[in-house]
Amino acid sequence: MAKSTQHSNDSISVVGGSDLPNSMDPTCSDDFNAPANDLDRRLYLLMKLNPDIDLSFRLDDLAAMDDSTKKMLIGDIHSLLNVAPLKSSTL
Amino acid sequence: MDPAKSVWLYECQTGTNVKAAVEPMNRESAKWLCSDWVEPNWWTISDFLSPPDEQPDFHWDWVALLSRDQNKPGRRAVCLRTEDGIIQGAMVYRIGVNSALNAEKKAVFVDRIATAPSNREELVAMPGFRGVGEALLRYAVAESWFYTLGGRVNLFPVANVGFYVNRNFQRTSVTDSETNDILYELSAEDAESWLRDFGGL
Repeated sequence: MAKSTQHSNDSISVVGGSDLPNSMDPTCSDDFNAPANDLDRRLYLLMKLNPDIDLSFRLDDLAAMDDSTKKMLIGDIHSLLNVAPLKSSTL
Repeated sequence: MDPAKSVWLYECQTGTNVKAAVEPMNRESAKWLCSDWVEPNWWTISDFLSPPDEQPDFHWDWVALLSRDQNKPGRRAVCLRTEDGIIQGAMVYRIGVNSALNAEKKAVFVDRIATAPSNREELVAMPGFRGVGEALLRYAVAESWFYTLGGRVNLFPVANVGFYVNRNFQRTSVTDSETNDILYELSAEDAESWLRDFGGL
């Protein structure tokens, strides 16, 4: 059970609403269409955010992959970049 | 690594922690969140303690936000839904914005978070759940981690800056030119520490 949620008093009812300044513009901006499903979208963005990773296929190849291959690829990217997996899918 | 799929919320009536699913916001859920769309929506409470239209998000048009962000891979919107089917909170965020603390790094920008009015102590005598806003923030940190951004998260608080300062969000030099609101950011070091504290790592 998550320690921090026990008896946590929610002090943030509302956050944000201000525009992101131009100087903070994301690199993954709005100049291309996202893949349709969540897994493709995640992998697509992960690769866009890490252009230095040497991958042996192009983003266009995503459509030809099955889901387990995509998940494996996400795992490989995380391993390459030393990103530890989350211990639980519930935060 | 799979992304996080649910969060813990504190249910006030039972005094227990319960799971809420994190689900992508769709047009149907966005409509339900809006104050001036079809009834019922999450503003439909008969005995608010204070005028709901004084809440900063009362006029947020979630459907318009969803339309603005659809098909843009760096932008996402999610809802927290409890087992009874009720949406307890919602968040819109961007992945891959510049970090304000480290110019060479990227972060997740929390565009906006709103908890259900039924969970706000300023609006109802007995909130249904506590920790909804913080749970969404934890999810944002986990998303930043998933996308190899080190857990960095930045946002414009509209109130209660102390909440963020207590969680080591740092004031930055970035401001919103119209409102003069100040951007706060959680560094990668503090994000990792927070992830460990709540059992994420």
